[in-house]
This record gives sequence, structure tokens and C-alpha cells, in this order.
Amino acid sequence: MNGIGGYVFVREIGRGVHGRVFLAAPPPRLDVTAGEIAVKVFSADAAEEGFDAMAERLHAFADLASPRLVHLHEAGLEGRNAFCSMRFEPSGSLASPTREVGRPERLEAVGRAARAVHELHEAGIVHRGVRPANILLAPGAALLAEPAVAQLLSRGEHLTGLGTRGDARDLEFVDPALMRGGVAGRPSDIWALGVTLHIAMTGFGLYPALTSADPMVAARMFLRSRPEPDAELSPRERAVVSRAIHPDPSERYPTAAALADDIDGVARVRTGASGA
Amino acid sequence: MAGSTIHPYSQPSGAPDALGRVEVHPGSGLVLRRHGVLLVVPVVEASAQDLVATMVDICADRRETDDRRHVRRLARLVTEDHAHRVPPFVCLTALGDHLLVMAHDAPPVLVDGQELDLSPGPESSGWVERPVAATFTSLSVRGPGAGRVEGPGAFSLDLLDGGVPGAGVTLHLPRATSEGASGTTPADRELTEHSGSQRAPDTGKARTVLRATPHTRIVGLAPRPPDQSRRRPPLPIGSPDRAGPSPTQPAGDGASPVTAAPVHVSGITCRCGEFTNPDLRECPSCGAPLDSSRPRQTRARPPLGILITDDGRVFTLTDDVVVGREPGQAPEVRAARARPLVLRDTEQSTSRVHAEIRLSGWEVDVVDRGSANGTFVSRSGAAGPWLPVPPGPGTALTPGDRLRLGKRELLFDRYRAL
Repeated sequence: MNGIGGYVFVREIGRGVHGRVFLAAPPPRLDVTAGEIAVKVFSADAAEEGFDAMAERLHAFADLASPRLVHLHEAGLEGRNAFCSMRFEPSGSLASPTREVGRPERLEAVGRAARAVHELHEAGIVHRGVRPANILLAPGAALLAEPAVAQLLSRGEHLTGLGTRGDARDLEFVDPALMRGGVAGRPSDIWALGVTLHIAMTGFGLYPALTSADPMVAARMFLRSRPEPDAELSPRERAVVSRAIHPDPSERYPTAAALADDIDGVARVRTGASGA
Repeated sequence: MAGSTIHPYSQPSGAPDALGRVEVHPGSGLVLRRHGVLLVVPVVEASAQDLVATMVDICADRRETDDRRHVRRLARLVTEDHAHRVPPFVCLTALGDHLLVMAHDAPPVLVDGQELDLSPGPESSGWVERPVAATFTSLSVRGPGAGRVEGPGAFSLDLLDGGVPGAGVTLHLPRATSEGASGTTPADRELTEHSGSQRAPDTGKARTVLRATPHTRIVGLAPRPPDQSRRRPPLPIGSPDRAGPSPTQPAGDGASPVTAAPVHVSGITCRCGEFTNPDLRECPSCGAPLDSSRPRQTRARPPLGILITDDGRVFTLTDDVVVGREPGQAPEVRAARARPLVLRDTEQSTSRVHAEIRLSGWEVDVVDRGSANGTFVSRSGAAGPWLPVPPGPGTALTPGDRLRLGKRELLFDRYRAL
């Protein structure tokens, strides 16, 4: 793919279940004074009315103009390809950092992401896409990437799980209560933060057995199992994860900010800082 | 279009074939594009067909990029005896920095929405010539009865070369940009080289190249000032679903649940608290033997299982489900007695209304609804054997059974409360 909507692609910088991300040169209509541009092209076949819903959702995210959220430029539709352009963050994400990232920094990044998620929740927005790949690293900060929109693009279809191009390993970020027909809200984003936190602390997820390529079997296994945080974590760290991923959503942290407070507490202990 | 190559858009830079994007308005006339010439004859009547054929030959014959002989020859056609027989037409010729518009009895020509002055000069000779600087964005010629190129029912194709039926055209000249060079790809360069050559290749026979014009929309995401209409309250704290599992529906879509009253059944409550089918030997939840002498109770039926689709969606079964690529068409779904489960693929291997999952009492059955490719069930995993599912009464399902509908699959599993 060479470009879209006037953006000319320089190179591909990422690829996931929901689309591909490119480093791009902006079109002249975009008055961009600083920074390079990243363009995410969504793989879902987009219909016009789905695009309107997607653009509105992204705009609501951008309206917050928060330093904790990635800066979005435009949303677009060309033919059946929907895309979104944003400020490019050269340090990559927690899933694919472009430089060495130590454990304390990873913890801090998840804590910041939790605060960003809380900001969205207070503004009435569910993110639905919290995962390491959506936590972007920046100097002295972490930014939450744009919310999940793939479920809006395919008219009439619902992708609670994976979608037909799904990878079973992405299933672990979906709150099982959501898969069973629940409604997305604070608890489901907090679930995803819990799983993300575990990955940031240990390097792996909570469902190591979920490598089956068959989404049906993976979903079945996923729904039957009760994940336990890794034994190598401290009791305090395990407690934070366990509370975030409790099977009963009403038993989880009530807000992402409360989770962020506990993550900060854990980060302080590890670095030997005094207090808490 | 055998053998034609479709090139991506390139930025024209005064190239000889600088007509831009040519959208054809549907109609019963003729639109011809060849080598930088566009001939639009909005209406072709039987009596004028020989003349139109001559006009096509004249325009198709143009070889050199600044050749205007075709204009002279068209003019001669009009001024000779045939004047009253020559149908109204417009001929547009790309000449570098401008477009030459030649018109005879023509419908209005609009340049960026303004009508071009085509009133005949003092020497009225039946035709008019006007140059138009190639700085416009759009130019359109629409004969009577011309269809639209935008909106519902429109026919948005870009004529690159050749002749097609039509009653008008709209040209779109892209704005030249300064990044013209940096953005070129090998394919772009190929197109520029091709149209830059003085001699157009001799194709030997007529060839029409059409491609779909991608419809582009851009929305800027600069933060907007706060607006009451967009105000959203903070999300509720705590789980929104305290009452229990929601009825059969995919999550998060806000679809209204089936409004039918909950079904009540007679069953036994196991010591572990599970209310279940009295005919079972063991409790499906805790595994303990089910004491059939325990008193029967009539209570609201719990979910009888879950359906997992091969794309990872999970449906909790509290009502009948109609499965297919357009299950909304089934009368039961319209009447809100059953829920739709959309399963489709690019090969349309699933029928619109393919199969139904029916709940009756404690039993779950799958019924084929007369699908083209049939419905099959395997009790022993993906390898099968796959047994065909008949129409009503269908086949009873047990947890672990797989269903195959065309190329799509479903897995039926036990329902587990949180």
C-alpha cells in the first residue's frame, strides 16, 4: 500500500489484528508544524455509516485534548478502507518498544495508561482496546492510543472476540463477562489493564495455554479457565492483578484511577522508595 | 478489459493527457476519450449514427499532442450540408495549460459551477470554440436525461480511455502539489512516461478502460469547543449487569433484548444451587449425582448453553436463534421470538436463513432451514464424522458438539455462570 487519503506512506511500522500502521508524509491540507505522522489503516471492510460512528468516537477521544492521550489528526475513508492519522511516537509501544525499557518504566507506563483510561471513563468513553500495543512510550510519559473502532466499521457485525482474522492470543484482553453478553464499561477496560499490567511485570500473559489457532477452541478454553497471576510476583503485585481481573466485574477496582493508585504503590515498593 | 493495466492516480504536471479524472454521466449518448480528447454526444439517434461514427474516427485519429486537426475536421462536418444532422456535441481537447472547448448546439458547460459563455460570435458557423485555463477544479457537460455521478443510484466510474454510452461528463482536475516528485512510485512513473510520449501506441482496436473511483471522506479531529449535545455523563461505576447474564445477544451493541416473557420450566435444584434438568443423572455444574427424588420446582429457565462462533463471538442461549447471513429476514426474528446470529463469508457459503437453534424445555436442537449447503453436526471434534442435520425436528445438541454451516462453524458448549 503506497498511501491513503493524500498521505504518502514512508514505511510500515506495525501490524495487528485490526489493521496496519504506517509512517507517513502528510498531505498539504494538514497544517502540521511539528512531528511525523502515523497512519493506521483498519482492516475491517468499512461502510459509510460505520465510518460516521468511527469518526465521532475518535473525535470524542480527541476532544479531551489530554496530554495522556495520543494526538489525533484526521479520520478518513477511502473506498472501503477507513484510516486514522495521528502524531507519530518514535519510542514505540509497550508491545514493541524501539529502545530498552526497564521494569520500573513499564510499570509506570501502565499506571499512566490507567489514569488515561480513567479520564476517558469520566468523559463517558469506554476504550475497549487497552493492551500493551496501545500504550505508546514518549520521553517521560506514556500515551494511550486511540480507542478500538473496528467493531463499528463492519455494519451489523459485532466483534466481541476476535473477528475472522483474529489471533487467539488477543482473546485474553477481552473481559469474559463481555464475551458472555455483558456491556462494555469501566470493569471491562479495567480487566484489560490488569492483563496488560501482568504482561508488563512478567513478560507474559495470563493464559499461556491459549496458543490454539482455532478461535472457537481458544474461546472455549478461555471461558472455562480461571487465570492466576504468576507465582514469581510479590503478594502485593498478585493482589493488584487479581483484583483487576476478578471474574465478577463488580468485585474489581471501581475505577481505573483506583487501579492506577495501586500500580503506583507497587512501583514505589519495587524501587525501594519510602512510603506506602 | 483484457490486458489493460490499472494505474494508481498520479499527479498530472501539465502532461499532454491532462484531462484529469473523467466521470461519465449515464445516458443513451456516447462519450469517447482518446489521447487527451473527450467527445461527448449526449443523444445519439439512429438517423445520425453514421455521422457519429465519423466523429469518433476523427477524434480517435489524433496522434500528436498539440494536434488540432480533429477540431478542424469536426468543424467542417458541421459547416457542410450535414449541419442540421450533426447531433449536439461537445469536444474537449487537452492542450497543456488549457482545455479547448468546442461545442455545437451543446448543453451547458459548467466550469466550477459557472456556465461557460458559448454564445456564437458574429460569424455564426454552427459551432463555437473557447479555451478554458486548466486551473479549474471541475468541469461538467450534462445533456438532457444525464444521470448523476454522486449520491444514491450514481455510477461513479472514471473513463481512462475508449468509448462508453453516456450523456455527459464531469472532469475533476486534481490540484498539482509540490510533492509530486517525492510521492512517485514505479507505477506512477510508468503512467507519466506513457502519456508523455508524443505518439500514442497503436492499439489496433478500440479498448475501453474504466475503473471505480474511490470515494474519499476526511474528518479533521481538532478538539471542538464543549457542546451540550455531545455531553456524555461519566460511565457508571460497578458492573452494569448485576441481575445476571443478559439474554442472547452479542456484547456491547446496545441491541434491545427479545421482549418475550421468560420461559418457565420444571426442574430440580442441586445441592450446589444449580437449577437444572431433572432428567440428568449428574449435576452439570458440580458433577454430583442428581437426586431425582428432590422436589420439582418451576422457575425461570437458565441459559441452556453457549454458542461460540469460529470468529470468537459468544452467544448465551436463552432464546431460539436463527443463524445465517441474513437471519433478520426470518419471520421469527422479525416477530422477536428468536435472535439473529449473522454468519457470512465472502463465498456466501451460508444461506440467508440457514439453520435454527431451538430451545424446548431443557432441550437444545439444531434444525436446518432448507439451506443450500446443508447443516452438519460433529460430536467428535473437528475431524468429524459430520452428520447432516435434517429440517424440523432437527438434531438434539449436547455440549461439545460442533456445527458446520457452509464454511462457517459453531461450537455448542455448556453455560457457566460467573
